[in-house]
Amino acid sequence: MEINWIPGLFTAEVVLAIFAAELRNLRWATAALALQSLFLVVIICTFGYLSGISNFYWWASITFISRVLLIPWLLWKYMRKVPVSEVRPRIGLIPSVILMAFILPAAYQYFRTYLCSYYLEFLPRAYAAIGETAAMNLALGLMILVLGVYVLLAKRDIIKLMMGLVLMENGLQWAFVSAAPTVHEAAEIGLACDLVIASWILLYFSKAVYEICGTRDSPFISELKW
Amino acid sequence: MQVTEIHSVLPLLIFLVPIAFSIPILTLGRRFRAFREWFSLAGLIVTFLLTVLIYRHIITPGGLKALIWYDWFYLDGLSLLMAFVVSIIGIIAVLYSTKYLTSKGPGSSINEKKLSLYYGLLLLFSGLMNWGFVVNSLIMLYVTLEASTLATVFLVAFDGQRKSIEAGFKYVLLISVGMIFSLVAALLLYSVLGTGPALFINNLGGRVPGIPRTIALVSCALFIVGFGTKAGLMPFHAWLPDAHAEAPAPISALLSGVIIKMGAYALARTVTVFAPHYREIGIFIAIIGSVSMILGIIMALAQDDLKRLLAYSSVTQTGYIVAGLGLGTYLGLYGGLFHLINHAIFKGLLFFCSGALLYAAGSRSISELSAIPKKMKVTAFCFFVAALALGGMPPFNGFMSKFTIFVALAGSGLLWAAIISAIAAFLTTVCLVHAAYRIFWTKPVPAANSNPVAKDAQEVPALMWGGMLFLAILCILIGVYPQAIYPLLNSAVNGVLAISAAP
Repeated sequence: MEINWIPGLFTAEVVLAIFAAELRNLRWATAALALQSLFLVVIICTFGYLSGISNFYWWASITFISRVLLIPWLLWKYMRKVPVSEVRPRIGLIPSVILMAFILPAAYQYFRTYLCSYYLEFLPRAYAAIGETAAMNLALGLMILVLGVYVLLAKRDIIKLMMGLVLMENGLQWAFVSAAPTVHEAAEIGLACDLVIASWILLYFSKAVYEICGTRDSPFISELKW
Repeated sequence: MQVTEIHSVLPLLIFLVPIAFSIPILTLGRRFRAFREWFSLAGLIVTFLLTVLIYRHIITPGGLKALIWYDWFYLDGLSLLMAFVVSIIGIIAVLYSTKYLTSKGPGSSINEKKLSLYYGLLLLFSGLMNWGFVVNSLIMLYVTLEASTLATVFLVAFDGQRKSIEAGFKYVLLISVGMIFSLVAALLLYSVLGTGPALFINNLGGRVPGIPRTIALVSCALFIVGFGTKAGLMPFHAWLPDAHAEAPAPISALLSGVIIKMGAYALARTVTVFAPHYREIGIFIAIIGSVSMILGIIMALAQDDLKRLLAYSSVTQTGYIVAGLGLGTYLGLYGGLFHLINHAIFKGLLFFCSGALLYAAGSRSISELSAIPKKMKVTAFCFFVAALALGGMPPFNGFMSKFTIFVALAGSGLLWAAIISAIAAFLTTVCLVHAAYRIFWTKPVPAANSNPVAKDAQEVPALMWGGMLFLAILCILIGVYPQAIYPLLNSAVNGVLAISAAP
């Protein structure tokens, strides 16, 4: 199968992740997150097809239900009751984009150089044909995980913090595409359920915090100190 | 160690039973009160009896054995040790809650619906924790740890006040983020070990020599971040003081006595397996453990809120446990696991005592409590015993485990860590005994306390102090006769070592 369209898919996945992290309108950010998750599903299906492992389709189905449908729906439902503009982050848009322009390529380069060399060395021969592309998955997935950590550090809005957590998990799932050709479905079901429940709980608490404190600004709701 | 493949459902029952018992409590608890307190108590007692049954008939006779169930579940001495701790502290917490969460106590605002949720979730997370102790896959270990966090968050935020809601939010966010790093560690191992049996916990030890050094060390560091967050290890502890302080006292006892131990368990299943191959890991964990020991107790010294003080001292004690486990030697593991049990006992006891004070005097501020009449004799006795045990004073149980860790650290060439552990033990004694002295021994000055409830503070009901007294007696008994739990600890240590040394 011709796989030239895969770099385009990867690029779209990364760009959407950046949009989800940076868009100030939380509805648009949620839409970007849902689309990013949808592209993740496409990537999982593609690698299921390329590697011939049927487990990937299970995985893709669960990811679709949890990340493309349920989590964005929960976020969307929550945002009907609260202002949709993000609380001003710690780092403004332009500095944040500049910072990301340094951090993300550096993270990718690091993972691609060090981790992927080990990965390719230990990759079973059966998957040698897709080795390079799979290694890219690993590095890019971990790069998105770094982006999620950045969101957690740079943002103040508790909804954006939740999105950072989802981005971290999405990055990890993407990386797992290369590394988990025979992971049993139960593990993915567990992971997906955990994230959906964690997201629901975080939104429940975000709502409660907003109702009590009247703000979603994380530094301002910290009554509990060290 | 002999590993026996079985097709019995017995090991599965230790987590299926509490989960099954939680369902009617959550669904029917509002209509039938019997489905709440007594049904949850019955669920935990059955679980305890099952654990005893497995221990007596399968694990110990004819040498140390582990059970494996279609590669999916793996149960050895360590799994059973943890299941024992969950059942015992759980049973005492349920008995205690029956009085604590009544109209007279701090739970006066709690309605029937919330009580069903309380008991149902208490049983559910006991089941999820037991599930975590028997899974054989690193991914499923992550899933169960995360699931137990999600099941407990509503208990942390149980009273629905601003501080507890905030504590619940922090708890779920920080642990979820931290735990992702342990998943990254699993991913790294996947990427260099391939798949299949490699990531089954029982096979991990045999695969460690084949893992490139950098990947092994980075994976361990990530496991420490991930599971260390769950264990409340410094500097990943930010959720712990809030969650412990804001949760109802029986839940604080379970958080400190049981839930953070799940992180220590996961470290024992992963990082400890790597430790014999890489000395750096032992040193790194000793450093983190020592930082936790010292900074935790320094933070505790600055607290006036009794529950926050106890929470910070949990950070200190986790440092001891992890420092012992990180050594990967028999003595280190023995000390670490011994302290894990002891900490569950005396910290559980201290949180129950703080709950008793809140119940009787309506305050958790040490300054306010120092003004109460000295009529709570049993609570005072229990608090002093637990404080001395926590400080590592002979002849209490804390002395035996801390001394074992001290010897293990010194014997592994980490004398500096041993000295730090001794200093932290001294500071812990000062901190806890000073608090106990202020609360129970100083002359009451009613005028100093604006809280009207405090003036009539009486001893708590027997269902509350009964469990506390039982734990206080355990502190003394284990300290005087530590051989009593040697077989259980020995089988747990051998369980860990068997995985480390697996071919």
